[in-house]
Amino acid sequence: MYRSAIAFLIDSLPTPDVFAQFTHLEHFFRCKILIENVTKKRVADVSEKLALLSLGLSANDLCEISFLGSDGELAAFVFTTYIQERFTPIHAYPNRQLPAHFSKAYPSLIQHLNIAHYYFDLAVKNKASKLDVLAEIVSELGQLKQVSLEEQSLWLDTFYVREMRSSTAIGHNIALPHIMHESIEEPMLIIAKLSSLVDWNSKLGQIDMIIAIMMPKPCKKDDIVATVRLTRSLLDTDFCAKLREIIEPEILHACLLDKMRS
Amino acid sequence: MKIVAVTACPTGIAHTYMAAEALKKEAKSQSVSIRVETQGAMGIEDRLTVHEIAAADCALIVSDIDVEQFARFADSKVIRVEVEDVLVDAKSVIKQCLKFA
Repeated sequence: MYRSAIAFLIDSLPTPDVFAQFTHLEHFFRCKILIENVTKKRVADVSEKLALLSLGLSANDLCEISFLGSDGELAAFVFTTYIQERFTPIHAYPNRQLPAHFSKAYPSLIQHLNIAHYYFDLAVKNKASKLDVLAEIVSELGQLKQVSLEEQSLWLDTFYVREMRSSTAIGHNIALPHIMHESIEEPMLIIAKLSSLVDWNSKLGQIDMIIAIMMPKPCKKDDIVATVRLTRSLLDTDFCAKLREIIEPEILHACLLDKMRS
Repeated sequence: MKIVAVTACPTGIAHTYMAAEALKKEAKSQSVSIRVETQGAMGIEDRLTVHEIAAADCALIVSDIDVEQFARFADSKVIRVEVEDVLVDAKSVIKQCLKFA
Protein backbone atom coordinates (compact mmCIF):
# COMPACT_ATOMS: atom_id res chain seq x y z
CA MET A 1 0.00 0.00 0.00
CA TYR A 2 1.25 3.50 -0.83
CA ARG A 3 2.73 5.41 2.11
CA SER A 4 4.57 8.69 2.10
CA ALA A 5 5.13 11.55 4.47
CA ILE A 6 6.15 15.18 4.58
CA ALA A 7 7.88 16.64 7.61
CA PHE A 8 7.62 20.35 8.32
CA LEU A 9 8.31 22.90 10.98
CA ILE A 10 5.70 25.20 12.45
CA ASP A 11 6.72 28.84 11.94
CA SER A 12 3.95 30.35 14.00
CA LEU A 13 0.70 29.15 15.52
CA PRO A 14 -1.60 28.01 12.68
CA THR A 15 -5.00 29.68 12.51
CA PRO A 16 -8.16 27.52 12.66
CA ASP A 17 -8.75 28.03 8.93
CA VAL A 18 -5.57 26.04 8.23
CA PHE A 19 -7.11 23.03 9.98
CA ALA A 20 -10.40 23.60 8.18
CA GLN A 21 -8.53 23.56 4.87
CA PHE A 22 -6.71 20.33 5.79
CA THR A 23 -10.04 18.66 6.54
CA HIS A 24 -11.60 20.07 3.37
CA LEU A 25 -8.74 18.77 1.19
CA GLU A 26 -8.84 15.35 2.84
CA HIS A 27 -12.37 14.72 1.49
CA PHE A 28 -11.04 14.56 -2.07
CA PHE A 29 -8.77 11.57 -1.52
CA ARG A 30 -9.28 7.92 -0.74
CA CYS A 31 -6.51 7.57 1.78
CA LYS A 32 -5.83 7.96 5.46
CA ILE A 33 -4.07 11.21 6.29
CA LEU A 34 -2.52 11.66 9.72
CA ILE A 35 -0.67 14.60 11.23
CA GLU A 36 1.80 13.94 14.00
CA ASN A 37 3.32 16.57 16.22
CA VAL A 38 6.64 14.75 16.55
CA THR A 39 7.94 17.17 19.17
CA LYS A 40 4.94 16.71 21.46
CA LYS A 41 4.19 13.10 20.49
CA ARG A 42 0.54 13.68 19.51
CA VAL A 43 -1.24 12.29 16.47
CA ALA A 44 -4.51 13.32 14.84
CA ASP A 45 -6.55 12.18 11.88
CA VAL A 46 -6.91 15.06 9.41
CA SER A 47 -10.59 14.22 8.92
CA GLU A 48 -11.32 15.22 12.53
CA LYS A 49 -11.15 18.98 13.11
CA LEU A 50 -11.28 18.74 16.91
CA ALA A 51 -8.54 16.13 16.98
CA LEU A 52 -6.35 18.54 14.98
CA LEU A 53 -6.72 21.12 17.75
CA SER A 54 -5.47 18.54 20.26
CA LEU A 55 -2.10 18.46 18.47
CA GLY A 56 -1.14 21.50 20.56
CA LEU A 57 0.93 22.98 17.76
CA SER A 58 3.27 25.81 18.68
CA ALA A 59 6.19 27.59 17.07
CA ASN A 60 9.23 25.41 16.27
CA ASP A 61 7.34 22.10 16.63
CA LEU A 62 8.38 19.42 14.18
CA CYS A 63 5.40 17.77 12.47
CA GLU A 64 4.85 15.02 9.97
CA ILE A 65 1.87 14.48 7.73
CA SER A 66 1.54 10.96 6.34
CA PHE A 67 -0.58 9.48 3.57
CA LEU A 68 -1.64 5.86 3.47
CA GLY A 69 -3.84 4.39 0.77
CA SER A 70 -4.60 4.26 -2.95
CA ASP A 71 -4.83 8.06 -3.44
CA GLY A 72 -1.84 8.68 -1.19
CA GLU A 73 0.52 9.79 -3.94
CA LEU A 74 -1.90 12.34 -5.33
CA ALA A 75 -2.80 13.57 -1.86
CA ALA A 76 0.88 13.95 -0.97
CA PHE A 77 1.38 16.05 -4.11
CA VAL A 78 -1.51 18.40 -3.29
CA PHE A 79 -0.67 18.66 0.42
CA THR A 80 3.01 19.35 -0.33
CA THR A 81 1.99 22.46 -2.24
CA TYR A 82 -0.37 23.52 0.54
CA ILE A 83 2.25 22.94 3.26
CA GLN A 84 4.96 24.77 1.31
CA GLU A 85 2.74 27.86 1.24
CA ARG A 86 2.21 27.87 5.01
CA PHE A 87 5.03 26.00 6.74
CA THR A 88 8.68 25.09 6.23
CA PRO A 89 9.08 21.58 4.83
CA ILE A 90 12.07 19.70 6.19
CA HIS A 91 13.15 18.50 2.76
CA ALA A 92 14.21 22.09 2.20
CA TYR A 93 17.56 21.16 3.69
CA PRO A 94 19.08 18.29 1.70
CA ASN A 95 22.86 18.14 1.94
CA ARG A 96 22.84 20.74 4.70
CA GLN A 97 22.25 23.55 2.20
CA LEU A 98 19.93 25.52 4.40
CA PRO A 99 18.05 28.56 3.17
CA ALA A 100 19.02 31.72 5.06
CA HIS A 101 15.52 32.35 6.46
CA PHE A 102 15.53 28.84 7.88
CA SER A 103 18.68 29.48 9.90
CA LYS A 104 17.24 32.68 11.32
CA ALA A 105 13.95 31.10 12.27
CA TYR A 106 15.33 28.00 13.96
CA PRO A 107 18.72 28.78 15.47
CA SER A 108 18.53 25.96 18.01
CA LEU A 109 17.56 23.36 15.44
CA ILE A 110 20.14 24.59 12.99
CA GLN A 111 22.86 24.17 15.57
CA HIS A 112 22.11 20.46 15.54
CA LEU A 113 21.25 20.18 11.87
CA ASN A 114 24.83 21.18 11.39
CA ILE A 115 25.86 17.95 12.98
CA ALA A 116 26.85 16.13 9.81
CA HIS A 117 24.33 13.42 9.04
CA TYR A 118 24.46 10.56 6.58
CA TYR A 119 22.11 7.84 5.43
CA PHE A 120 22.94 4.50 3.84
CA ASP A 121 20.80 1.64 2.57
CA LEU A 122 23.03 -1.39 2.93
CA ALA A 123 22.55 -4.69 1.16
CA VAL A 124 23.65 -7.22 3.73
CA LYS A 125 24.89 -10.65 2.68
CA ASN A 126 23.47 -13.77 4.23
CA LYS A 127 24.97 -14.39 7.69
CA ALA A 128 26.85 -11.08 7.65
CA SER A 129 28.54 -10.33 10.97
CA LYS A 130 28.55 -7.22 13.10
CA LEU A 131 32.08 -6.50 11.88
CA ASP A 132 31.01 -6.81 8.22
CA VAL A 133 28.25 -4.24 8.76
CA LEU A 134 30.45 -1.80 10.66
CA ALA A 135 33.14 -2.14 7.98
CA GLU A 136 30.57 -1.41 5.29
CA ILE A 137 29.35 1.73 7.08
CA VAL A 138 32.87 3.01 7.68
CA SER A 139 33.79 2.32 4.07
CA GLU A 140 30.70 4.14 2.69
CA LEU A 141 31.34 7.07 4.99
CA GLY A 142 35.06 7.07 4.20
CA GLN A 143 34.36 7.29 0.47
CA LEU A 144 31.84 10.08 0.93
CA LYS A 145 34.12 12.13 3.13
CA GLN A 146 37.25 11.13 1.21
CA VAL A 147 38.97 9.87 4.32
CA SER A 148 42.17 7.81 4.05
CA LEU A 149 42.07 4.03 4.45
CA GLU A 150 44.26 4.33 7.56
CA GLU A 151 41.73 6.61 9.17
CA GLN A 152 38.86 4.33 8.16
CA SER A 153 40.73 1.45 9.74
CA LEU A 154 41.12 3.42 12.98
CA TRP A 155 37.39 4.16 13.08
CA LEU A 156 36.49 0.55 12.43
CA ASP A 157 38.86 -0.65 15.18
CA THR A 158 37.33 1.81 17.63
CA PHE A 159 33.79 0.72 16.76
CA TYR A 160 34.75 -2.91 17.07
CA VAL A 161 36.60 -2.56 20.37
CA ARG A 162 33.53 -0.82 21.79
CA GLU A 163 31.28 -3.62 20.55
CA MET A 164 33.60 -6.25 22.07
CA ARG A 165 33.01 -4.68 25.49
CA SER A 166 29.25 -4.96 25.19
CA SER A 167 26.65 -4.96 22.48
CA THR A 168 25.13 -1.62 21.46
CA ALA A 169 21.79 -3.12 20.42
CA ILE A 170 18.95 -1.25 22.11
CA GLY A 171 15.92 -3.30 21.06
CA HIS A 172 13.34 -2.65 18.32
CA ASN A 173 15.93 -4.16 15.93
CA ILE A 174 18.04 -1.00 16.34
CA ALA A 175 21.74 -0.78 17.23
CA LEU A 176 23.46 2.34 18.49
CA PRO A 177 27.18 1.98 17.81
CA HIS A 178 29.03 5.06 19.01
CA ILE A 179 32.64 6.15 19.28
CA MET A 180 34.79 9.10 20.25
CA HIS A 181 38.15 9.40 18.54
CA GLU A 182 40.90 11.98 18.07
CA SER A 183 40.82 11.54 14.27
CA ILE A 184 37.14 12.49 14.02
CA GLU A 185 36.91 16.17 13.16
CA GLU A 186 33.20 16.85 13.63
CA PRO A 187 30.23 15.08 15.24
CA MET A 188 28.48 12.76 12.81
CA LEU A 189 25.13 10.99 12.92
CA ILE A 190 24.80 8.06 10.55
CA ILE A 191 21.66 6.10 9.86
CA ALA A 192 21.90 2.81 8.01
CA LYS A 193 19.07 0.51 7.08
CA LEU A 194 20.09 -3.10 6.43
CA SER A 195 18.44 -5.36 3.89
CA SER A 196 18.14 -8.17 6.45
CA LEU A 197 18.51 -8.89 10.14
CA VAL A 198 22.02 -9.22 11.58
CA ASP A 199 23.08 -10.81 14.86
CA TRP A 200 24.40 -8.04 17.14
CA ASN A 201 25.31 -10.36 20.02
CA SER A 202 22.57 -9.03 22.22
CA LYS A 203 19.78 -10.36 24.40
CA LEU A 204 17.73 -7.60 22.78
CA GLY A 205 17.66 -9.49 19.50
CA GLN A 206 18.94 -8.99 15.97
CA ILE A 207 19.08 -5.62 14.23
CA ASP A 208 18.37 -4.16 10.81
CA MET A 209 18.69 -0.46 11.58
CA ILE A 210 21.74 1.40 12.80
CA ILE A 211 21.96 4.82 14.38
CA ALA A 212 25.69 5.42 14.64
CA ILE A 213 27.25 8.37 16.44
CA MET A 214 30.83 9.49 15.88
CA MET A 215 32.27 12.24 18.05
CA PRO A 216 35.63 14.00 18.16
CA LYS A 217 37.80 13.49 21.21
CA PRO A 218 37.86 15.78 23.11
CA CYS A 219 34.32 16.85 22.36
CA LYS A 220 32.35 20.03 23.08
CA LYS A 221 30.08 19.66 26.09
CA ASP A 222 27.09 20.99 24.10
CA ASP A 223 27.53 18.22 21.55
CA ILE A 224 27.68 15.57 24.28
CA VAL A 225 24.55 17.00 25.92
CA ALA A 226 22.72 16.93 22.57
CA THR A 227 23.82 13.35 21.97
CA VAL A 228 22.71 12.27 25.42
CA ARG A 229 19.27 13.82 24.77
CA LEU A 230 19.03 11.70 21.66
CA THR A 231 20.25 8.47 23.23
CA ARG A 232 17.90 8.89 26.22
CA SER A 233 14.98 9.38 23.86
CA LEU A 234 15.77 5.98 22.34
CA LEU A 235 14.51 4.40 25.57
CA ASP A 236 11.06 5.54 24.54
CA THR A 237 9.32 2.57 22.94
CA ASP A 238 6.87 4.77 21.02
CA PHE A 239 9.69 6.87 19.59
CA CYS A 240 11.60 3.78 18.43
CA ALA A 241 8.44 2.35 16.87
CA LYS A 242 7.98 5.68 15.10
CA LEU A 243 11.54 5.61 13.76
CA ARG A 244 10.97 2.16 12.32
CA GLU A 245 7.91 3.34 10.40
CA ILE A 246 9.67 6.25 8.69
CA ILE A 247 10.79 5.64 5.14
CA GLU A 248 12.26 8.98 4.10
CA PRO A 249 15.85 9.61 5.30
CA GLU A 250 15.21 13.37 5.71
CA ILE A 251 12.37 12.72 8.11
CA LEU A 252 14.40 10.19 10.06
CA HIS A 253 17.17 12.70 10.49
CA ALA A 254 14.72 15.45 11.38
CA CYS A 255 13.18 13.27 14.12
CA LEU A 256 16.57 12.41 15.59
CA LEU A 257 17.87 15.96 15.39
CA ASP A 258 14.65 17.22 16.93
CA LYS A 259 15.40 15.06 19.98
CA MET A 260 18.88 16.55 20.20
CA ARG A 261 17.54 20.05 20.64
CA SER A 262 14.75 19.48 23.15
CA MET B 1 14.34 0.91 50.60
CA LYS B 2 17.11 3.16 49.34
CA ILE B 3 19.37 2.33 46.43
CA VAL B 4 22.45 4.19 45.28
CA ALA B 5 23.60 3.40 41.77
CA VAL B 6 26.47 4.19 39.45
CA THR B 7 26.17 3.81 35.68
CA ALA B 8 29.13 3.79 33.30
CA CYS B 9 30.00 2.52 29.83
CA PRO B 10 33.12 2.51 27.64
CA THR B 11 32.36 5.60 25.51
CA GLY B 12 30.14 7.43 27.95
CA ILE B 13 27.78 9.16 25.56
CA ALA B 14 24.91 6.69 25.33
CA HIS B 15 24.49 3.67 27.59
CA THR B 16 25.61 5.43 30.78
CA TYR B 17 22.72 7.84 30.49
CA MET B 18 20.23 5.38 29.04
CA ALA B 19 20.81 3.00 31.95
CA ALA B 20 20.46 5.85 34.47
CA GLU B 21 17.18 6.93 32.92
CA ALA B 22 15.83 3.38 32.78
CA LEU B 23 16.71 2.78 36.44
CA LYS B 24 15.06 5.99 37.64
CA LYS B 25 11.93 5.24 35.65
CA GLU B 26 11.65 1.68 36.94
CA ALA B 27 12.43 2.63 40.56
CA LYS B 28 9.72 5.26 40.42
CA SER B 29 7.18 2.76 39.14
CA GLN B 30 8.10 0.39 42.00
CA SER B 31 8.06 3.30 44.55
CA VAL B 32 11.70 2.69 45.40
CA SER B 33 14.06 5.54 46.30
CA ILE B 34 17.10 5.66 44.03
CA ARG B 35 20.02 8.05 43.48
CA VAL B 36 22.00 7.52 40.34
CA GLU B 37 25.51 8.81 39.67
CA THR B 38 26.59 8.81 36.03
CA GLN B 39 30.21 8.36 34.99
CA GLY B 40 30.19 9.31 31.32
CA ALA B 41 31.91 11.58 28.83
CA MET B 42 30.85 14.59 30.90
CA GLY B 43 32.69 13.19 33.93
CA ILE B 44 31.02 12.23 37.18
CA GLU B 45 27.58 13.82 37.49
CA ASP B 46 25.09 13.67 40.35
CA ARG B 47 27.94 12.42 42.50
CA LEU B 48 26.87 10.22 45.41
CA THR B 49 27.88 11.56 48.80
CA VAL B 50 29.45 9.38 51.48
CA HIS B 51 26.35 9.98 53.56
CA GLU B 52 24.03 8.78 50.78
CA ILE B 53 26.12 5.65 50.24
CA ALA B 54 26.14 4.88 53.95
CA ALA B 55 22.38 5.36 54.24
CA ALA B 56 21.54 3.13 51.26
CA ASP B 57 20.42 -0.49 51.58
CA CYS B 58 22.51 -1.46 48.60
CA ALA B 59 24.80 -0.09 45.91
CA LEU B 60 24.00 -1.02 42.33
CA ILE B 61 26.89 -0.83 39.87
CA VAL B 62 25.68 -0.85 36.27
CA SER B 63 28.74 -0.93 34.10
CA ASP B 64 30.70 -2.71 31.41
CA ILE B 65 33.95 -1.14 32.66
CA ASP B 66 35.60 -0.44 36.03
CA VAL B 67 33.86 2.43 37.74
CA GLU B 68 35.80 5.32 39.24
CA GLN B 69 36.17 5.65 42.99
CA PHE B 70 34.80 2.19 43.67
CA ALA B 71 36.47 2.22 47.10
CA ARG B 72 33.55 4.35 48.32
CA PHE B 73 31.40 1.23 48.31
CA ALA B 74 33.73 -0.89 50.47
CA ASP B 75 31.14 -1.13 53.27
CA SER B 76 28.09 -1.40 50.97
CA LYS B 77 26.18 -4.42 49.81
CA VAL B 78 27.12 -4.23 46.14
CA ILE B 79 25.19 -5.66 43.20
CA ARG B 80 26.95 -5.58 39.84
CA VAL B 81 25.11 -5.87 36.55
CA GLU B 82 25.89 -5.09 32.93
CA VAL B 83 24.28 -2.15 31.15
CA GLU B 84 22.41 -4.53 28.87
CA ASP B 85 20.74 -6.17 31.90
CA VAL B 86 19.13 -2.83 32.73
CA LEU B 87 18.09 -2.14 29.16
CA VAL B 88 16.62 -5.64 28.81
CA ASP B 89 14.83 -5.85 32.15
CA ALA B 90 15.23 -2.97 34.61
CA LYS B 91 12.36 -4.41 36.64
CA SER B 92 14.33 -7.54 37.56
CA VAL B 93 17.41 -5.50 38.41
CA ILE B 94 15.47 -3.35 40.87
CA LYS B 95 13.82 -6.48 42.30
CA GLN B 96 17.27 -7.96 42.83
CA CYS B 97 18.13 -4.87 44.91
CA LEU B 98 14.93 -5.21 46.95
CA LYS B 99 16.28 -8.45 48.43
CA PHE B 100 18.54 -6.23 50.56
CA ALA B 101 15.65 -4.27 52.03
